[in-house]
Amino acid sequence: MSLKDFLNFTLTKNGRAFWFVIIIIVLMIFFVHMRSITYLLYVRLFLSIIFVLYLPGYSLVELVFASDKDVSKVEQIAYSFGLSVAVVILLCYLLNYSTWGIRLEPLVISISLFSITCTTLASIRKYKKQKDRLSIR
Amino acid sequence: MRRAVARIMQKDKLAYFGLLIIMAIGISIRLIPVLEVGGIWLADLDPYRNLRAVNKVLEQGKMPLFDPLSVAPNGTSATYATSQGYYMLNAVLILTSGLDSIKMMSISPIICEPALLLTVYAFALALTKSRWAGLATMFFASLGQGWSMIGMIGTCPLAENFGVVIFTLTLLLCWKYNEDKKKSPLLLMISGFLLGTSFLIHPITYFYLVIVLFIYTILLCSIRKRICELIYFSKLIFISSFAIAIQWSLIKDLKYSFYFTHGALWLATLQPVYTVIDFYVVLSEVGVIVSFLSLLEIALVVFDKKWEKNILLSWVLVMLFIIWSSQITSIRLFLANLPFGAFFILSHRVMPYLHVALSLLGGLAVAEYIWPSVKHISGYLSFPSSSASIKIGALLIIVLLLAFIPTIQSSISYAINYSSFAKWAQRHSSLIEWVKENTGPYDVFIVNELCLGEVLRTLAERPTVFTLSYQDIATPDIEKRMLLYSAVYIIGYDERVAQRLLYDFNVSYVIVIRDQFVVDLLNKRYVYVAPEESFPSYLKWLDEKFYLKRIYSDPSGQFYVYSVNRDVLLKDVALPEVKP
Repeated sequence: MSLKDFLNFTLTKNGRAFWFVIIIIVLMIFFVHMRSITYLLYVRLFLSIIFVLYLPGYSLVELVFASDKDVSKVEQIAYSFGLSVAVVILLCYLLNYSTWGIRLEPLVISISLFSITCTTLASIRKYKKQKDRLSIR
Repeated sequence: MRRAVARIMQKDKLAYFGLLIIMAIGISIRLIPVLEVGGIWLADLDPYRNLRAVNKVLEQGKMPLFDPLSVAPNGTSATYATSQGYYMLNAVLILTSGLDSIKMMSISPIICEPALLLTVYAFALALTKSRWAGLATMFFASLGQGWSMIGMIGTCPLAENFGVVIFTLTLLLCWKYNEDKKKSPLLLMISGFLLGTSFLIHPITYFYLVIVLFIYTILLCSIRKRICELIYFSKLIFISSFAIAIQWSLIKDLKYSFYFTHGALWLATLQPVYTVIDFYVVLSEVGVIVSFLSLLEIALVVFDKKWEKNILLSWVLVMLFIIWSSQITSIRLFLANLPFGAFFILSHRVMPYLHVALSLLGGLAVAEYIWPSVKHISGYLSFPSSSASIKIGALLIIVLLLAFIPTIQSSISYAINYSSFAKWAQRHSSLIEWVKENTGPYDVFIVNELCLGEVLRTLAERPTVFTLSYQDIATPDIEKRMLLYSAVYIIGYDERVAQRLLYDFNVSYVIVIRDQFVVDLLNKRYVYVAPEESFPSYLKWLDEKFYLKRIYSDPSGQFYVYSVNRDVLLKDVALPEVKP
């Protein structure tokens, strides 16, 4: 598997979830870093809802249900919300026991790392599947 | 083929359009209280406790374990022993959004609303493969009032907001697992994971989920005549135990659940009973049409043996059984001896969950009974063309909407009236300011408005002896605390008992709010301490007490503050014995 092929795959319809996750994380980090941008408060609010209550679950759903055709789009969104709640709570417990505590930076880093890991694994899985399908043809 | 695909795409687009409109209706109704009070005040009692817990997480960067402001003067660890996941999740949202904690908390129920509506849509779609069922379910779930709405209304951040969504999702996943021929272990894992999460959000959500799943499993076993479903259920509970282990590692104590049940029995004993709901309340909150449709669907499930839908049947049966059991005094007394009996006694807590179940059944009835009937009638009236069918479909939607106008109106007026709950705390802002400026952080307070005690703890950061909040109800000496309020505020109680209890609880200030109810412990009822016309003589009665000194009178006459002279209080007085 070459990195170039993989990156090309992430630009296709099947693999674009990877970039969606990356873009949301980058935007979130930007807004967290630029705390003084008060006039964009509602943009940050919307982004934080996506970042906390959708992204971790979405990347996990991508990983778990990637090949499941029975799961509808609406169902995927609902699962993403539920799993995000579960994942973020568990991350909070981990941070609660760590020296970092439940603070902004450790939270953003841990949620981002979790989401990137899941979405990368999901994309690799999808990419391999697509490659196998093409080689069979 | 292309035409068929195009038609499906068009139907999908229409469904998504309907979905967005219903979401907009649901969100707008629930947003009314936030807009009315500007998102700077919360409604009711529990939301202020939740706000305090979230503020503590933000302040310390860790989950607090001890609450020195409740159950004064001792403090308690019961406050933060449950719903830790909910507190931490809200803290994360506040940190990442950069909003004020109170603002974020007041809009958090509205964030959950679209998630709930999408979940019920997905559930109905999975059960029937009909977009009609999904949309009708969403529409029914977006309306409501009373306890069924409280779970999802702006300015009322309760753990049930997230709890209802997780509850519905877990049931959907469990149903999918049981209907899945391959029995994917992944589905089982995720179901168990969400079941455990529900415990971290609110134990009551977990408790109701486990009972519903157990009854569902028993029904499945009896229908399929095998017991492997029981093994899946055990596995599910085993997977979810991670959450119990996490919580256990922090609290290591279950005695609160016993005390809470005892306290819940007390609340249910007091007259007029307002915490326990009945079937009439269910009918009025859910609406006659949805109730009728859901009954119709239950009949269809039972008579047509559509057992794949028995998850909804188990769900509704469990919730209705809880309401029924809380109605009967002898059963209530029996429940009071069980560790989690409080979840039955305080049966109003089922309403947010029951509302979703009835909405699902109602939505399914529309798709499986009303819509086919309309189609049948259109055929009978010889309207064969598809355009006629579309017209009849549109007519059905209009008729349904017209029929629901009163329900929509009552939901909106409930949301508008609910703003008064949020304004209730705002009306006492001058008292909160006065307390903050003129008293010390360790001074113990009692307030004749029980719910305001929780606001004082959160906004003024002062300890109070008793409120109707969970952690106060879960104290072993609840009778003594309630007796203090009765003895101090109600004319006719033994003065010496009041003095001893003021001394025992180290009370420094007594606050009197005009026009309030107080628990009359010996007569087991809520009473008006002083009607408006006799309020001046009531104040005079308080002024004449030698151990109380009026130190502040609100210029608008809404509240009065008395300091307690602890040096003159009697200490050795026998207390009357009372039982719920």
